[in-house]
Amino acid sequence: MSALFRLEWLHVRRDPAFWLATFILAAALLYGLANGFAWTRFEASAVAQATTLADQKLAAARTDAAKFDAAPPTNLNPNLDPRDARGFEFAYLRRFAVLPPSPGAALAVGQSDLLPSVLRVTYRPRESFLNNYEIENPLRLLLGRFDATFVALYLLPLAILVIAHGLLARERDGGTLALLRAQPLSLARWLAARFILRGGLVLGVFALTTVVGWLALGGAPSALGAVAIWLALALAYGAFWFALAWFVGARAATASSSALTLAGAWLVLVVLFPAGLNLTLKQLYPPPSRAAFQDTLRDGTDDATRRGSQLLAQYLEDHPELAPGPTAANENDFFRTRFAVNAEIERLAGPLRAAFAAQLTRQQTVIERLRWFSPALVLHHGALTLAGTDRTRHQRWLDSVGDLHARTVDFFEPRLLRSANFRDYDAVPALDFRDPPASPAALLAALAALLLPAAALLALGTRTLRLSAL
Amino acid sequence: MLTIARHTFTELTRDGRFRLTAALLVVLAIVAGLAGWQQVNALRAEAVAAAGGERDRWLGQGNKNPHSAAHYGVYAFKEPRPLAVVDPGVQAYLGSAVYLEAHKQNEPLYRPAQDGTALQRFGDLSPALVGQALLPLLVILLGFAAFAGERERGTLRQLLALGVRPAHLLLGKALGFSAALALVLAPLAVLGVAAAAALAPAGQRTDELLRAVAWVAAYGVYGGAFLFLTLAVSALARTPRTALVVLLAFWLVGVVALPRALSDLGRSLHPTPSSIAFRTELEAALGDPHARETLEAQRIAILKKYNVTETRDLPINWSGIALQFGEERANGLFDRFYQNLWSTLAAQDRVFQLGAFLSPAPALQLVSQALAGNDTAQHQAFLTQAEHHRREMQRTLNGALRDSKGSTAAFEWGKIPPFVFNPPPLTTALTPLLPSLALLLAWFAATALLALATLRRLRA
Repeated sequence: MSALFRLEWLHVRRDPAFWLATFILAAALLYGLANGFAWTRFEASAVAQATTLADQKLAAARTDAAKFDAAPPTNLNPNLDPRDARGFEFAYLRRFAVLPPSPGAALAVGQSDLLPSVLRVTYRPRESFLNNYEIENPLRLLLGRFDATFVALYLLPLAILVIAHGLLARERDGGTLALLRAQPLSLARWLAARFILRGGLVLGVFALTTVVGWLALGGAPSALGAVAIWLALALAYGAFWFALAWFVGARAATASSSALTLAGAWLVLVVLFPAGLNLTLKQLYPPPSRAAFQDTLRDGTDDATRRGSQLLAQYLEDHPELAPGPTAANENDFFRTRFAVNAEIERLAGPLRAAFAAQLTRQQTVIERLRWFSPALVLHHGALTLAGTDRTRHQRWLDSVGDLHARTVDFFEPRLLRSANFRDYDAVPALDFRDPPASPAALLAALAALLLPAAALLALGTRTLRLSAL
Repeated sequence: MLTIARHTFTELTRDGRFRLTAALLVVLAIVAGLAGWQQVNALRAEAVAAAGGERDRWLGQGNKNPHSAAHYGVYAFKEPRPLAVVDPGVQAYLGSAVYLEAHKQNEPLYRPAQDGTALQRFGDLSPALVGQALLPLLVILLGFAAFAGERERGTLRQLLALGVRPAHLLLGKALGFSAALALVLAPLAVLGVAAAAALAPAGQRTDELLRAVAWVAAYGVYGGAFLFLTLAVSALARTPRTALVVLLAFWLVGVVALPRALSDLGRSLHPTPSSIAFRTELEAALGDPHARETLEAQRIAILKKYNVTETRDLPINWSGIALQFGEERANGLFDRFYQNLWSTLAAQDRVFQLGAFLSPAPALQLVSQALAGNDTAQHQAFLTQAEHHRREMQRTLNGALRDSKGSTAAFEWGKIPPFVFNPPPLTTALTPLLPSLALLLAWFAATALLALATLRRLRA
């Protein structure tokens, strides 16, 4: 066998198409990684800006409070006084819920350029802050990013197509196959050597470029675990395409028809199946209308404002601690009514928001089930999960944001009513969000979903070769 | 020449592979188009209903301080454009509702893509995607062997020996292929024109129909460029396999990889600020304390004009003037901040447009979106018009407040007209894309010349 490899190496060395494809793939991978890092750094800087702003404002609140305590200013608007809960909330509190990029985020931009990751959570209704998108060119959102996952998903199979489509058929086209058959050597073994050598080289260069690129472009060595898992998925995906090329090559009459079949398979598995599935799911489980959602909220807000006093009475039944005491100031009625209206909007919006989430979950469930039919979806799903740029992680974060919002309302409502002498700077609720540990079972399932079909294709292709050799 | 064309056409239409692929493409385009049609209808009905609700609420405000009404504000909804049926463009990635309220220029809300899964990032299946990505692939798959195959079989030499002129051979083949491809393009054309005719509002029908025709023509030119390129490579290549691999590689780089690479390059050359940095700076500028001094100077001037010493003695309501002063000051800041941001986005898109030197795909993508009315610029036109409406609304309301001194009569809410979006006409939409149009035509001409030149060499 080693003699075969040596002989094959002589061929490979002088095959310009092989080296060109490998070089372009490696260059694209490096560019993809660089793009991923550029985006991750941008996101991290936005998170840092939010954190810095929040800290600066909080420090300013303490400093100003101490200053005003030492020398009480005359005519200070309570809405600008950090010692008043209203002033603190309005003029000083800039608290953001942030979703920091995961250690492996540079591998796949995923949904992170579309879904907001910095939200300023206040006691006001959630819709007032949930739609704070990151600034991004819509054309780029439409086209998608040139990141490492794009390179693995789209370009790796095409590089393999270029390299492997004619490994057998070219001999057939050239008429040299009969000569080979005359040798005391099994066709499958000879072809295996050609595939293994080229596959090993391409995938080896891919792996090396990933690791070296990751470290050279400033990726954290601590994230190499995530990189390794991503690489395992990408290589298994590559193995699937080599196996497909083996299977197709064993049957195809000419090199051209082998290339055509592989291109068709790529089109179906990487482009048409995902896009068609998306279209079908949007028809089956369409999201509710956002315009109608907005309409309902506006109507509800109007209605709530009109029924302000009635709602207020109801609200005070639920919150007796907020009922006006003997010193009840009139101005508090404004806040009480506002809280009651906010609570009413939240009551209206909650089920509607849940309806959007439910349709999305239905779509997501079907995708998770059907993804096993397309290796591209297996890799895509795995890569996004690994990079923490998938919808599921974002939804988990949004759930924490919802929880933070509820705690913020609970924190501020009583304090805004008895707003003077506010010192609870440290007690302001903060986001409680943690990533769950990665699940090895999901990773193994994904690897199996890529490698099992690969093995089946290899076996079928080998059988065809054996039969045709008889 | 016509004989060659007829022969090529018959050969193609009898080929099972062509029939299967072409049928697949047509079915995909039609299914995607019908889904788009339904989507446009649904979105439009929802936008109209929501806008109606807003109008009713606005008119039914009763006796209310005009400035409370300004804070209450109104939502402007963007209706989908008719040609979103064939190319939804960036529609899914832009918000379609803007809140028009006192003091603030708000960002549009609710991007449809936010309610979708990550699958949509594989590309929304639309007639435009079929035309941009799959049509060239079909051309390549059908045409790569046009000359290389004949050469391999030895029939090319026979044809030339018979005295068939290479130019005739090329044009004949091109004509035959075009006729076959027209069978695929025809349903797309029908879909586009039908959408424009059926879905356009009465006043915009001519414009939309022109857009639809130009849209079909753009895809024709694009397909033609790929056809000539395919024929040229097929004539140059020694074997059909080489022709196929070279063409597939061009398609892969030019259609699949280049657009993404260019758009990421645009971002690294012309970076946009983060949303939080943008907002923080804008807020800081809006809260600039110098404004108070200018306002005070204005107050003194007005007191002098009416020859009084106290604001309360003025015959007009001072708060109306003060609020309008604040509006106008803020408007200047909004203009500056948003113009900066939008010019950065435009610079990114110009980088993308330059990429059309390397492949016709970026040019077609931009032109197609613009013709369908679904590019960034025409969305910004919606935002600009909505913002203009907001400013006019504030001016009217603050004027009413200014003149309301001593009066208890309710403001007539109908004096504020409902917001109506007038999409920019075709010529305005295409002006920034003249380089793309020129490059698209240049690709067509260059590939045709290349094909002709390679065939001349064949004879030698």
